[in-house]
Parts: sequence; C-alpha cells; structure tokens
Amino acid sequence: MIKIILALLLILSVPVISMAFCPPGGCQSPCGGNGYYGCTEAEIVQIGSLNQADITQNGGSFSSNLATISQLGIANKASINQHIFADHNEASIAQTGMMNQANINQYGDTNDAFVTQNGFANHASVGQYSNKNLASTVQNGIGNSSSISQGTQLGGAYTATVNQSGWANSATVLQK
Amino acid sequence: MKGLWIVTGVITLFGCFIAEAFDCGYIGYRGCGIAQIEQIGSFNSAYIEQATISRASILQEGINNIATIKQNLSSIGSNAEIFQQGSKNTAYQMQSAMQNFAYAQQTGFFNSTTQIQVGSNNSVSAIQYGAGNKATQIQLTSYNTASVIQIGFFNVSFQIQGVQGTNGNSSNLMQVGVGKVKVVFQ
Repeated sequence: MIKIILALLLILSVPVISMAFCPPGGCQSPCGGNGYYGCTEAEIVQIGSLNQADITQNGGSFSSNLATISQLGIANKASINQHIFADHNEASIAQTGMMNQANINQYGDTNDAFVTQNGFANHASVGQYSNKNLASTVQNGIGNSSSISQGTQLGGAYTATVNQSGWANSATVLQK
Repeated sequence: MKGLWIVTGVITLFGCFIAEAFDCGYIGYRGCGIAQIEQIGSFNSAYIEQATISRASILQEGINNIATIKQNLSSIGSNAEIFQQGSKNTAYQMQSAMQNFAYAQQTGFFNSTTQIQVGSNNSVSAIQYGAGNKATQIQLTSYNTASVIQIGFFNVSFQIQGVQGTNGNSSNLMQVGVGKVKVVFQ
C-alpha cells in the first residue's frame, strides 16, 4: 500500500516539477485551440491594397494548427481553410481598411475562429460545421457585414459572438 | 472494493461532463448553442436563426436598427432576448416549439416589438419605455403566457392568444401614461 501511495505521489509530482523549470510564458509555443498545444503555425502579414492571402491546413488526427492573417489596406482578401480531420485548430484574421473580405472555414471539431475588422464596407464570413466550435467577430466602422454559420443537423456545442460599432452594419448568425 | 472505486470514478467524470455541457437553456433544458450580437450605432441589422436548444441575445443602441431572432421547431426550451435603446428600432422574435421564452426591452421613441410563438407552454414578455411605441404579441395553441409593460405616452399594445379550441392561456398588460391603446384577444 505504501509503495502504491509513493508511486502516485511521484507521478503527480512530475508535472509540477516540469512546470517549475519552464520559463515565463510556458515551455511550448502558445498555439492551438482550447489548450491543445504543439502545432503548426502559419502567419501572413500584408500591408497595402488589393492583396490576397490564403492559408490551408489539412490536419490529421490529433493535429493542432494555428493560422493568422493580418492585412492593412484597401480591397484585400483573406481566407483560412482548415479542413479534413482538422482537430484542434485556431484561426484569426485582422483587417484594417476598406472593402476587405475575411473568410474562415473550419470543418473539424474543437475549433476557434476570430475576425477583427476596422474600416468601411468590410465583410467577414465564418463557417464551422462540426461540434464544439467558437466564432467571434468584431467590426468597427460603417457598412460592415458579418456572417457566422455553425453546426450541422447533428447539432454541436457552438458559440457565436458578434460585436459591431458604427453605422449600417449587419450581422447574421445561423446555428443548426 | 476495486469495482466500487471504478464506478465512483465513472460517475464523477460523468457528472463533471454534464455540469460542463449543460450551461444554458430554459426551465431545465441545458446544453445548447449560444449566439450573441451587440451593435452600437444606427441603421444596423442583426439576425439570428437557431434550430437547436439555444440562447440568443441581441443588443442594439442607436436609431433605425432591426433585430430578428428566429428559433425553429427543434429549439425546445430556448431563450430569445432583444435589448434596444434609441428610436425607430424594430424587434422581431419568432419561436416555434415548446417551453420557450422571449423577452424584448425597448427604450426610446417609435419603437416596435413583434413576438410570435407557435407552440404550447411558451412565455413572452415585452417592456417598453418612451412614446409612440408598439408591442404585438401573438401566441397560438395552449398554455401560453404573455405580458406587456408600457410606460410613457401614446403607446399601443396588441395581444392575441390561441385559436378556436385552445385553453390555458393568460395575458397581462400594464400601461402607464396617456394616449394608450390596448387590445387583448383570446
């Protein structure tokens, strides 16, 4: 019995010891959704106009990917696709300017998506067609539109949040 | 003894799972989709459509805003809430299942609320502060509850419950101010 207790204490002490030797900010890169770490990171930064950015991450089982697109300018297009067995992904798009378009598609489970747009006549679209998804859109300006579509007929534990400030903005959330 | 510990562990894990998943819904219906839209400004429109046990919330501040929440047949035990501050705002809430709850609150002038529920054991509530506001509540079938509170001037309210052969509906309408019109049809 004493041996079992000592063995349990030793097992429990391993994470504590490893955490104690990690530098501030953690031992691993902070990527992946909902606490899933160890992943592939992709980042695109574009400054200017009429640019187009596209990230596609086809993850396998137990994969965790992080995709980030940042654009500053006019009439830029951003797109992130994380399809096919994409398990624990996170996607983020930030755009500042006019007439920009942001698209995120995630056909997997336990995914996150974040879109931030500042300016005029911008459009954000997020599609998540599986369980345990989260989508959040923030838009500041005039004439912006946001569309979030989540779930299938089988349902899911989805959460959608849209925050808009300005004039003539529109927001649509579909959950099924 | 070992089997007892295993059973206890399984029950504990199952309880944690239930506690995490069941975090929203109405009258005991838990585990649902959540949609929230917040708009600060004018001439904005917000639309939420849900076909699951769900909770929807729209907050708008400004003028000429439109908020729509549609919860379909499978959305039993869902919540729909709309909060609007300003003038000439419009709120629509449509629910077509059982044991749903719809709430609309408007502050300002010439605002309009329309709440429609098709199903039984539903509850609808509207509160309007200001002048020239209009509230319309329509509930079909039986055992529904409707309530309206209007505080201000020249407000109008319509409450329509059931069709021929339905029973168990109740309505409550309170208006404070002058120039008020109320119509209750059961």
